[in-house]
Amino acid sequence: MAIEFSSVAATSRRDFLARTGAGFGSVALAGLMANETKAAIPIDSLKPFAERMPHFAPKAKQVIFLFMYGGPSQVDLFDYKPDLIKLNGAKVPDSIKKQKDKVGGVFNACKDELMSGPWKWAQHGKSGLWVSSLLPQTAKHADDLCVVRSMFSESSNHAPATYLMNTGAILGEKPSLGSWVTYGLGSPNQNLPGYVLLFKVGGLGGSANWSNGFLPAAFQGTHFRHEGSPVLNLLPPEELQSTQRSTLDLMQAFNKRHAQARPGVLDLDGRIASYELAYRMQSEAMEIGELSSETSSIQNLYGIHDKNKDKATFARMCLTSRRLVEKGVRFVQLYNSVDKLGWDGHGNNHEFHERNSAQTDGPIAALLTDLKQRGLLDSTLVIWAGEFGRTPMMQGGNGRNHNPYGFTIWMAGGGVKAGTQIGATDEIGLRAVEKPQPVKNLHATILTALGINPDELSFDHNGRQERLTGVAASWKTIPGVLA
Amino acid sequence: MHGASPSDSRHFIDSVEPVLKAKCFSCHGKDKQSGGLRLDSLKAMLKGGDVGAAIVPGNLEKSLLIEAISFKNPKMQMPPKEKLSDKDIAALSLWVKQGAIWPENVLVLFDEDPGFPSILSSGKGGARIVNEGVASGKIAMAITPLQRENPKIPNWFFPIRENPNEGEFRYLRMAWKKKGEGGIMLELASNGSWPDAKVSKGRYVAGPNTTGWAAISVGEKAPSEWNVVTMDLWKDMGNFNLTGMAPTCDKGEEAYFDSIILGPSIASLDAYKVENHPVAIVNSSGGSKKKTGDAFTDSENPIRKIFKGERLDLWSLKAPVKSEIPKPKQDSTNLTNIDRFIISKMEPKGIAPSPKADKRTLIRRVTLGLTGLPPTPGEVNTFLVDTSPRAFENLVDRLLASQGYGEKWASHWLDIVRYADTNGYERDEFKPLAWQYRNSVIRAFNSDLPYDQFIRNQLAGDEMVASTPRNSSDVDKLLATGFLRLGQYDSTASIFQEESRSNNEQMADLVNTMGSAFLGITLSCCQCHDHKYDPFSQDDHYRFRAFFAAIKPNDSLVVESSMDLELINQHNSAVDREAEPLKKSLATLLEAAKQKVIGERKSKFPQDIQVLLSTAESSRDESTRKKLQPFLEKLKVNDNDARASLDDMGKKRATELQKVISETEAKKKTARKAMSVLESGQSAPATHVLFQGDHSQPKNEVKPGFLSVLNPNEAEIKPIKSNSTGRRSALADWIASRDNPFTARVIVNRVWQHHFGTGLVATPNDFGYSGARPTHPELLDWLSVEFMEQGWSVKKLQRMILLSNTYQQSSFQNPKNQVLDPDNKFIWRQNVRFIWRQNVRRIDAETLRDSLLAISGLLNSQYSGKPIWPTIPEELLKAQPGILEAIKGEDGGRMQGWYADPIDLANVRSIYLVKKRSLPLPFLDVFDLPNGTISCGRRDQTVVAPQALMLLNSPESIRYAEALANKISKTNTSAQAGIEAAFALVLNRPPDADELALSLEFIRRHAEKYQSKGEAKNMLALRDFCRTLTNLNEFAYLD
Repeated sequence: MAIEFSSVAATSRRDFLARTGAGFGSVALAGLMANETKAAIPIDSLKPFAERMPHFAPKAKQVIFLFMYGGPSQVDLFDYKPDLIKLNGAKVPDSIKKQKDKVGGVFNACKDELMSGPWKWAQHGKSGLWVSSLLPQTAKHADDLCVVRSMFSESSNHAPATYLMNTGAILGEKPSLGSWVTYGLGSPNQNLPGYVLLFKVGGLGGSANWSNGFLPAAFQGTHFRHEGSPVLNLLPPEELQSTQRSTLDLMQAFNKRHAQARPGVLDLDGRIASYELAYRMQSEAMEIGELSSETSSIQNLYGIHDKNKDKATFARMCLTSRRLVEKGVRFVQLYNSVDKLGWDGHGNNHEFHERNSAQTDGPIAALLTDLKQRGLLDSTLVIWAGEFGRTPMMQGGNGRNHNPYGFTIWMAGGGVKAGTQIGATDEIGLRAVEKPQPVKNLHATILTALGINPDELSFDHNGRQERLTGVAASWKTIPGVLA
Repeated sequence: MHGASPSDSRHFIDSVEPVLKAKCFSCHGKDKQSGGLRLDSLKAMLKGGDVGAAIVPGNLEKSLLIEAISFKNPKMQMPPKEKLSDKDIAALSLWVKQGAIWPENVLVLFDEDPGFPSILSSGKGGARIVNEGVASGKIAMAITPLQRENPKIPNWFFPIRENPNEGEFRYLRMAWKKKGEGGIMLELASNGSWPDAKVSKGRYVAGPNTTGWAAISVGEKAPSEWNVVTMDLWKDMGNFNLTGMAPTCDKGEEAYFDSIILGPSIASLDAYKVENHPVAIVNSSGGSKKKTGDAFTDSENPIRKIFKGERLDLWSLKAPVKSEIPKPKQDSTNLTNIDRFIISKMEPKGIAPSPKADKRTLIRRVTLGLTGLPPTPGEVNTFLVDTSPRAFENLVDRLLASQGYGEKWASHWLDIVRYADTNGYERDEFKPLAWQYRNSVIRAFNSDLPYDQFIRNQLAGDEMVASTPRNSSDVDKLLATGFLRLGQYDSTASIFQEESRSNNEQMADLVNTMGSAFLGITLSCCQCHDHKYDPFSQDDHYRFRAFFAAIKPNDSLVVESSMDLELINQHNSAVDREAEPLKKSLATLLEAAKQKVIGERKSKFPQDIQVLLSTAESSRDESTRKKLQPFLEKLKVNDNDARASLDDMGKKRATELQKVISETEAKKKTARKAMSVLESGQSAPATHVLFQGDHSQPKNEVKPGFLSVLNPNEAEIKPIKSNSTGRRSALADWIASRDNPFTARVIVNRVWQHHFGTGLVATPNDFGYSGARPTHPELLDWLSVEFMEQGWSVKKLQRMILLSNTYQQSSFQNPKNQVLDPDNKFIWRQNVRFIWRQNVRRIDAETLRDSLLAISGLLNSQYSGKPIWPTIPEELLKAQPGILEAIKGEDGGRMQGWYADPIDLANVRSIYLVKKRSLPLPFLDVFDLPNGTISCGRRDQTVVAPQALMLLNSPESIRYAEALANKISKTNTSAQAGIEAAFALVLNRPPDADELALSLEFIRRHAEKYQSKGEAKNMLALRDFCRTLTNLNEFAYLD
């Protein structure tokens, strides 16, 4: 019995190239291309994540996007507003109320009353970054952060604003940031997906937040679980695990005969390769999930055994994200929420912010510390952002409504000018007034840090040259973020 | 330079500007600035881009623009794709040499247009045209007090800016004079509204102001002779969009206005002369109703003006015409007309078609292609032994007549209309009625509903049914209008006052989907601006939108035929009659109990109260009433109190009665409802073009109309019903027409694509310039006309294609052809493709799952009802915020959740599984299920590792393998028989000797591993073998 099962894919691929003399270009066009669409970047169907050259020297190579689900309150975390503290309980100044906004009304459902949070404010680090007492651990990294206090969104509603932050459009039909990045650059590790998501509860609006949209499906985000087998269906049921290889061997022997009778049909070679990749993924991905292999000091730094279960969960995600980055995964995105609520404190902002801060502050600080001590922070861009911020006006008992007009995000690591603060909101922290930044500018900044020209990362679809930053090419990088 | 003579300006307007617009602005204009350079104004050209100024007026040597277009410098050649014609290069060079005169555009609001007064509608005053004593040209306008007003003049949307770019302005100039006493005034509307009465900006007055409105004074006295005034509108009013005006005056006698113009600079105003603008720019809406012709024949057609006569050679704009059927050299009676077109094209290149595929391949190809299910081993054998010449034809006819045909082809259609069962966005609620649309599509394919009628039903089925549907065909017309409701809908938008944005998105989505699905055109591209490639204007997008302006969602449209409705009513009356005596018995029982309770309570009241209560109510005085009030309250006894007072026997009786009543009433039937739309009368709200597609910036109003390039006039609308505008019927008639150049071609191409992997036009949703050209235009047109002549019958079209030799060719390589055309594939934009063999293709997600169910014997092929919710891993459900809310019971009954059905119920064809936008079914999703938010004309066919994990490891796949092994082992006892049966089911063929040997060895080794399982070991080994076969390329791909 002579079953050939070693490197079936490689052989048949080599055969193929020898047979037809075709170069990579035509290989790329044949496989993944749907004919409504034309890949501006040639994608090798056998290796969709093959690394591709950036347009210019990148400042960051990998990304960890910490998505703060539900809209964290800028005026309670990073945007210190002494006037708001003074005006606590006062009516909203007429000058502020009068202004017309493009996005639906945030005054709706808010009281005509300003509310300051109960937390203490202090400046931290050499940069003197204002951080409230909610985030004591993050505050220790003040000089690592570049804080942008003048972001604005185009919807005051969760799903559209979350879509905007993740896909550049409020409609939920476009490719997500991670899809664009992996489509543009591939990923250093061929045995793991290039774009990984970690969440207990994913973004509002569902899978459209990590969709590949019209890009090839290889660039869809893959959900990694923070416990157990890291990817759904990574392993067969236990009784089949020991025969997995022999099953694959018979299959690939048959597949090879089938493909040999059909020379030039690249998808067949591609599918043979995909089974081998899946097999390699089984071991590599399993390894990612083995957090117990970390030293106990690292486990404790993140807090993966914390009594606060929500914190422990998020800590596992943060630690997993570091392991993924270490293994060369290009783009990792985390959602912090453990329920449907996240930071969305309409009726009870104080409690929500206490809870979410306690959950995220330590693990995020640990992630920054850990990345730094391993020398990974220089090449990893870390982004902290929600879909919008919250109103300085009171809603309900001590709540805050959504605020798309002005909110804070921060970036750290690869390519970012550390210890800087950019932009400002008005005196009460409602609207971005100094250097206001639309979300597409954030996306342009991220792409630029990765060595991608936002205009050149494009894909023809249904007659339009689509880009993450919009068809109209009207973005600017956020001034002062990139070193 | 603004002192340019008219002839200099003409050179620019006639020969320079069109070239810049057509060849340069797309990369160096408003939307994009490659190399930091804009070329859409003189200012921008002088400023230049990253490498310096684009031109130096008068100096050709130093003008980089001229260097670039002349292709002298190999490093800088523009336009990069194709050098300009010598004529264009000469024109641009001459222009630079003569000093680069760029006459800035002035906009004539009024000078020579006699229809102008009619657009100043309403107001109290009068306006007329005078021919004598004018300030310029031949006419002027006379206004009588008080004013003629229209804050939103059709087509008026003129941005006023500090530094105007193209299409923007800053200054207004006009001539005015006043007869007699009083003041003269000009009022300007900004963004559709007049200025506040107390605010002066927006009004200019000369002379005394007695109007009561604040105004900026531009003269103490009203001029008695023509006086030219120039206003810096930006300085006075800031940034705004001029949308209307009111020339007005007071005190009895007429005022005169003439030559009202807008310009970006004073100099541009100075350069204005009436004779430079012989044609009035503002058209009178009240003027004559002369029809404008299509852009090919009429120079007045707006598309001709916008694109300067270019873009009209788009192949798809000309209606298809049957050309003569070519005669290939190797002609024979075996060839069909399709074959003759195909062969004639490749014959001259020395390429010959491939031989017919073998019969096993053919039956597998055509069965999966038409029904989405594999042939059974029995069907394969029947076909193999049928040696009659009509064997294949009979097979095709059998498949076309099967239920599976409609199920498979409806799923192709559902992709195109982005069908889903939920709303999408945060809540992603279930739409409980949507599935009826899905089933109406299945029925349409199975009954071969003519395609033109299929279109009409979806766009305007409700307008075609008078009131109550008469029969099942009427019912399907109503159900088909579900098409209008398939888009995403964000029910939370209203919470944040974002309805306007959300409505705008829904309308855009509907128009874009309509364009993609029926016409194969990209209307999404002209939502914010004129189309970048195709001859469609921004107005066109909104002209289409206007057809839908009156629709409102309606989920309570009754779709029972009048007879069925009568039967339902009769049935329900019978149920009522049955329940009536039971209800009476219960009422009697409770009433007696009530009286008893009342009597008991009364007896416990103090004596005096009892006495008072026995008096007549009318005889009681106020104080008595007050006194009795609390006691009377106590005598109010409800059904629950009465029931509680019953003895055990009574209680039991009451409970029994109640149960029987409930059971009886549950037998009532409710009329079936449809997800449809509602119009409330024959008129519709106005539709406005939106500035950059922004809902908050409405521009000019448009009326319903089709593509202006073909017909720029308003569509003729004939209301059909009292409660409907008839607009959608007019649209449906235009689309489902033999004259429409797109409709038949688009559907013919889609059908072809599904049988060959690629369409004759490779971009099924884009028949424009950025799409692919047809590789066989004559064949496409011949088939399209034939299709229409054969009554738009999709089944006849299917037969034509399937019975061709071209379809039945082998997919195998032919060494000679391979050299000439290696991929047998369309090569992007080069239009080279011969179709000398069939293409090996992967089966789609649903076909894969349905095949697995079918071969394993699990498939319930009878089911055709409401969406079935399969069980999916709980962690996926809990990861969805919207579902999580429902799990906690906090979704307020909005059906945000996942309502899993028992696993046995889920063994239905995939088209009957729920399509939830925020959580696509993992098994289907991983195999390139489209996302259900935008029209998908052709699915991706990716090959990725997660597909391997799903098919190899998921419990679902293993369940199929187990069922398959079970089924096989029932009738096959030996290992070899099992292997052969598995091959026949999964691959529709027997194994060859090598395969059999490998398989036997596999089964032997696996059975050995399962030694400890005793009897079950052979079954388990067979299961593992089935798992292997169902993962094979040969199973997942079609030859």
